[in-house]
Amino acid sequence: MEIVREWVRNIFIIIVAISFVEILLPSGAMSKYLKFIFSLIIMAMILSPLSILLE
Amino acid sequence: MSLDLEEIIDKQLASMNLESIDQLTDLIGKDKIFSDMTPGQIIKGIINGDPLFNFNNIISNILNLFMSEIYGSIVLGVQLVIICIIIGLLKNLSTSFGDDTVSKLGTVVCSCSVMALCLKSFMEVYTICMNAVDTMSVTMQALLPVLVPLLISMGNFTSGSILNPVIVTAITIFNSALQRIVMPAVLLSSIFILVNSLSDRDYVKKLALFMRAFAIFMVGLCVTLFSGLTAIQGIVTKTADGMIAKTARYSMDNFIPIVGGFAADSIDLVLSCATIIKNGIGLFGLFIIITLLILPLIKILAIALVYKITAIIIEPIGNKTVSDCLNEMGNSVITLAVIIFLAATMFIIFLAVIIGIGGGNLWR
Repeated sequence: MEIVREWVRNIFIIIVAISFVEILLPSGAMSKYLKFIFSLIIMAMILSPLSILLE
Repeated sequence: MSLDLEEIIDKQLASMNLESIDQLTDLIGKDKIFSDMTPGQIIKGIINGDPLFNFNNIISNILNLFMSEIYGSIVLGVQLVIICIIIGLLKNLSTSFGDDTVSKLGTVVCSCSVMALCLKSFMEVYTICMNAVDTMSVTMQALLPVLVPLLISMGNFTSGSILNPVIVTAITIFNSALQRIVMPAVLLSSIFILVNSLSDRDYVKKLALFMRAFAIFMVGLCVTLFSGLTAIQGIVTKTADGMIAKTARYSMDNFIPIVGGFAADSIDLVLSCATIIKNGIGLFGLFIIITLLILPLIKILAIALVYKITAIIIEPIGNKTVSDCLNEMGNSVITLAVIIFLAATMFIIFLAVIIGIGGGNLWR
């Protein structure tokens, strides 16, 4: 239960933070790539419980 | 036969310990849907053949409750609509700010406040559901110690001794499964839905929908499993009881000379009185479970209706993500309603199994 709570809290914080950062980004050529990297971070966050299972 | 039917029933009622059941009536609280029901009244109603319900009363009570709940939660809807109008304004003003960033930031902040409002009201609904499930299982656990001895006193030894542990185990497992797994899953899925409404892209929508579907699947599985097992157990033990009861009556009738026949007949009468009492208490339990179900259900459905109507209202103003999010929140709230409805259905099936056993045709 504790693990699940932490997982959800992490996803929540990361998505809120990223949606703010995405807006504040300067609109340049790099912004597309940055957005892609952000989505990779979220994916890693969602998959993070797998590392506990694999141990 | 000098003894009157009502006298026997009164004596049997007086000899029973009904305090735990009387406490249950306090649990329902002031706003009752079924006015002033006690086990004694129901039993007398059954004997005299009075109608149990007053339908006009019940329907008008339910309507009044629903309207008052709608009025109570309409503030939430108004707040949400105002915030969404501000979001729409900000979008249109974006050109006059010069930079896109300022209006987008304002939109996200407004979405955050929508999120906070929704989360607050959803937590209310969540606690209502938790309490409803809790009180329903407490009610069942208070009813069983009264009903099962009555079953045994009617000669249903096998049913009484087997069904009691089966039903108690089922209730305990079901209650903890709901509180540990199912309800938190719905809560988490609605948190994901809310956080998903912050940006235009879908980050965790599929995950949220999956968790909700999983919760519904778990409840369905539990209800099917437990009620199926109990029903089958009830049928099997009923036949065994019939054998025992018929043997007892036959031996009394034939092996005790002269008075045996009368004794067997008067036992019939006393036992059918026990049946009436058991059915009366079972019915009383049904009323309590239904009341405990209807009160939270009305609240939850009123809030779900407010969510849905708000989603419909703000759709033309032009914010798709917030509208979708409110719609999904409405679905989440309805999911909670479905869960407590299923829980109540399972408890009602348990009571029906107990009422159905020894329905009076064993001894004839």
